[in-house]
Order: sequence, then C-alpha cells, then structure tokens
Amino acid sequence: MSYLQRILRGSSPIAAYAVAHSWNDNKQHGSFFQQRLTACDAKKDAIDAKKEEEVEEVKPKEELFHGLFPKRQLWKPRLEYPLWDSNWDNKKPESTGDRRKDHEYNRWVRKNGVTRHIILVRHGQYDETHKEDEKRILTPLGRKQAELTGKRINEMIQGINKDFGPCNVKVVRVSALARAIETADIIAKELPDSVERIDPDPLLNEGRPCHTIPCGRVGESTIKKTDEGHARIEEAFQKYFYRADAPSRKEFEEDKAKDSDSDENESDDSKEEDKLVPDPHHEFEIIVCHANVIRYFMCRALQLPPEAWLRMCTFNCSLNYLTIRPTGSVSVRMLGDIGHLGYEHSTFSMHHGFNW
Amino acid sequence: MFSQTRNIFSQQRILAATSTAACLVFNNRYTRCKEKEPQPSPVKKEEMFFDYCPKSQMHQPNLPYPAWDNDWDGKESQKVKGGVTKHYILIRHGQYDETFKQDEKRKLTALGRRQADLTGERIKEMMQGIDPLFKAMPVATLFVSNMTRAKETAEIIASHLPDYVERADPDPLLNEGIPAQIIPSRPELDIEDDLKKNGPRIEEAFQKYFSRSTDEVSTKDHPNRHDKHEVEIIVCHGNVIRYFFCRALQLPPEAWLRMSTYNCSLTYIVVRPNGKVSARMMGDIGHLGYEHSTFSMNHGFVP
Repeated sequence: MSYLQRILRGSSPIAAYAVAHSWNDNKQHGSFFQQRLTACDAKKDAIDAKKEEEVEEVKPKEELFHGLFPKRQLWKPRLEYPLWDSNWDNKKPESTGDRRKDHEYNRWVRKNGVTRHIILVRHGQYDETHKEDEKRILTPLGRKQAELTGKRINEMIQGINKDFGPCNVKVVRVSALARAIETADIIAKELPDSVERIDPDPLLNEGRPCHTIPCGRVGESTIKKTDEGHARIEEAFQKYFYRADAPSRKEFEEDKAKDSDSDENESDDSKEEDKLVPDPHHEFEIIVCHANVIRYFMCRALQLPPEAWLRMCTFNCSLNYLTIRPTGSVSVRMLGDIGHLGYEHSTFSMHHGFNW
Repeated sequence: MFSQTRNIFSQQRILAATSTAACLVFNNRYTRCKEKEPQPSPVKKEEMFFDYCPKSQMHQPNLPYPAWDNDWDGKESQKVKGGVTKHYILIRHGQYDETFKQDEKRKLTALGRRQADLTGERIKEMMQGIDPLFKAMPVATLFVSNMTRAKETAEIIASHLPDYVERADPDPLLNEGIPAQIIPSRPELDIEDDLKKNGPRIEEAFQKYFSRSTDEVSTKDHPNRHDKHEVEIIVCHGNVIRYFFCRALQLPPEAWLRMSTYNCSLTYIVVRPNGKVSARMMGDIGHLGYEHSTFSMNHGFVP
C-alpha cells in the first residue's frame, strides 16, 4: 500500500489527522479545519458584530452650518427672513373667509383690545468673583443702578399729566438668580404696593440661548450648553410673549350695532380731570432678568435672526421695552436704555463707562 | 334656364372662389404685413418677493441671513489688530411742528427744544467724564442732516459742548425719507415714490458714515483725544437711524419699522477695528425723563 493509500485509508497518523481534518470531511462532523473555519468565522462574526456596535455607538458626524456649529442648532423661522409671521404667537383669530370683514374686525381689535407693554430690565452690576449663585450679589454700584431704575419706573407709573399718562404696571417678574432677585427687590421698593410680585421663574435664568454669528467653530461643551439653554429660553419666550386675548367677534358685532344706534359716547373723564387714571387698554409688565435672555427675546420678538443676539450689548439696569398690539404687531421702543442712570452709573458688567 | 342657373351657379361659384382667393390673398398679405409690423415686446413681469414688492426693491445682502459679512465695509484686508474703535451716537431730532409742509417752517416745539437741551447736557457729561473709571468720551465731530429740525437740534446740543468739537456742514444725504421696503407692510403709507427717491440715497449715507477705522492710532487732534477711540455724533431722523441700525447689525433692513425711535433718543453703535459691530443702545431716552418722552405727537408711552 502506498503512503497515499494508507493516508486515504486513514491508517497513518497523518492519515488520521487528514481523516479527522479532511477537507472532504462531512461538515456535519466539523473537521478541525471546519472547526477552525467555524471558529474563524465565528471570530470574524464576533469582530464584525463588535464593529457594528462600535459604529452605532459613534455618532454620525453632525452636519455643520458653514463649519461653525451643528446645523440643527440654527434657528429655523416658520417663514424665511425677512417675512413677518402674523401668527407668530398662535393667537391670530381665524379668518371668516371675507377679507373685508376680517379687516374691519382687525381694526376694531386694534382700537379696543389691550396692548401689552413689556419692559425687560437687566440686573445691576454684580460680584463676579464667586461661583455659587447666592454669592453673586449686587455691588454697591449695582444697588444704586437698581434704585435709579425703580425711581424711573415709578415715575412712569405715577404719570405726569393727561398727556404723559400713568402706565398701568401690573406685575414685576424675575428670574431665579440672586442678582436678578436683588435687583427686582430694590426696584419694587420704589413702586406702589399695587404692583404684584410674581415668584422667581428659573425659566428666565441666564444661559446661552443659541449660537452667535459671527463666531468661530464651537466646541462640544458649547454645543451642549446651547442645547440646554435654547430649549429653556425659547420656552420662556413663548411663555411671556404673546398678544393679549382679543375681544370676541360677538362683542365686535354688538359694538357696531351700538355705534349705529347712538352717537352719544361721552366718557366720564370730564368729571375727573384732576385724577390721573391709567388707560385700561395698556398693560405693563416688568421682567427683571439677564443680558443674553433679553437680547434673544428682542430678536425673537422682532422676528430677526436670533443668532444676531451678541451683536447687541445691554448695559446693567438697562430698559428694553417693546409693545405687542392686540393685533399681534410688535414694536421695540428702547434697547439698552440707561439714560436714567447717568454716565457715572453706566456699566456693562465690569466695564465702566463707554471707552472700551 | 338651366344654362342660366348654371350660369348663376357658376357665377356664384366663381364669385365664391374669387372671394375666397381674395381672402386668402388678403390674409396672406395681412399675415405678411403683420410679420413686418414691429411686435410689442411682452411685458417682463418683475419678480416679486411674495406678495410684498418687487424683489429688486429688497435689500440684497452679500451673504444670506444670518451670516456675517466680514468685509461689509470693504476694509477687511486693511484691518489693524488693536487699532481704533469707532463710536457712533445717532440722535433723532426733537419734537417739531408738523402742521407745515415747507421744511423751514417745520421747527422744534418748545418741548423739542427742551429735549435737545437735555440731550446736550447728557453728551456734555459723557465728554467731561467722571473719574478714571468713567473716562471722558473723545467726541470729535458733530454731523447733521440738512433739515431744519435736525439742524436746530444740533445747534442746541452743540451749545452745551466744548468749542473744539468739529461742526461738519449739514449733509443732505442724512435727510429723512423712506429707506427700505416695509415688512410687515403698511398699505396706508404710500411709500413707492419716496422709496425710489430716497432709498438709494440713505444707503449711500450708510456707506459714507459707517466703516471701521484702519488707523493704528487715532489721528484726531483735540484736547480730549484718545489713541484707541473716536466718537462721532450724527443728528438726523427716525427712519434713517432705524435703517442704519439694521444695516450696521446686518439685519434685514425691511424690519426698520418694527422699531420706534423717540425724539432726541440716542442710538449708539460701536465698530471695532476688526469690523465687528455692537449696538449698545437703540432709542435711549432715559436722560429726558418721562415728561419729555415723545414720539412725534405721541406723548408718553400710552398709547
């Protein structure tokens, strides 16, 4: 018998080996090679599986906006700039289908509805050396700024005469950070007791409301901070900025009928000329909060790109004043107004005066 | 008879044929004539920006919003690191008598003159400074438009300021007008002609006055000078100021009427030597007190 024959018969050790691990062996029995193959396959499968897992764990690379920040973090307005979304607060009355009727009703609402006046006040100068919020309290200059701001708001509340009528300031709102609460407390001391103090709202706390343009490429921590800040501050915007509820169409129809019936519409003002009464069609709110939040609110209210927020610089205890008409139109009357403070109380945090 | 009929019929047919032929000939001639006639060119429908206005009347930014154009003033290549910061203080004129149409009669009211006085005092305070912390502002020049109410306001302000402040000649480029389209639209304001006439002029004014400094050190020469800061005061008008604010911040200028600049308000814009822009105030009237706060003939804040 030749060696080969013996191998084929399986009578030599090599043969035994060959038989045991024959290429021709029935795979069911799992030859060594097969086992090896199987093992290799299994190992390969395991490696592949791990690779897949790893691929899933690794986030797909985020698409960037011009290489600066994730595109998903760019604010997407409902209508492209510079269009005005007349239903920005989801409170636009539904159309009747008759344009003329809608227009008439709109004009009546403008005249008879309530205009909301929102005055955002940035807190006074504060001690930035500490990290804990309760230690980041106003400096003496900050307290003076808050006092002067309170006096200014009180002057508006009192009014001067019929021309410069009293402003119906209903509430003072505030964020939940120490410097804002302290500022609001000092302001409130100058105001009449009729002005309601609302509990601090952490939604109004300082943060990073969205990315800024111009900017450089942002890092991971900034991306994360923006995700957190934006969600909360946008929620705050939607909570506080909206048009007042409009008188209903039913009231409009009734009023129209009344007008056509009689022309007598004298008010009782002639009897009370000396007493200044605030106009009930105008309601003022004071919101004491923070620079980033205020600048973001201003951009959003004006339907301007919020990424422009850092192109503005709101000084300590500045007034940022906008009106929201009952028809939903918005007008900014002041941004960063510090004229009531005088030059010697004008600061942007630790920058004093304007030569910087 | 038959022959007559036939004749008539034939005649009719000939007539018909002739007239048809004539028609054909005539038509052909007509067509040819028509071809020869100069055809009126089809009216090119101007591309509209939604329902608002022709797209050509919209401001066309170099980069789409909200991108920032680093070379907005054409001086990016000349920028100087650590150079001079320019401060622009735009002041709207005081309240004026709107009952007249001629400009020379549209002068400040008594209240308007008082507003200008208070504004002059405020600028003077800034120029004097308080202490090493609240330093004197280096105001170099006072610019003004060529309209009576602005010139009168500037005169009153200047009377509070030191003589060394340069008084530039009145510049008609800064005159009031409609600077851009208005969105949301205000159909009651018929702006088309005004916009055509004044829009390009006001844009020219923006480009004339607003740009970064390319000096390493300020070249201004006055007792209050500062190496790294220059302040310019521009007394002009509400529409112009709001337009400048939008353009300086590279915001859509069609939003200009979403802002209201009160009489003698300060709008303060800073342009850094690297071209970055920052608005520190818009419509600041805190120095006037509530009893001097007017938006033209609207007094106070209500309405």
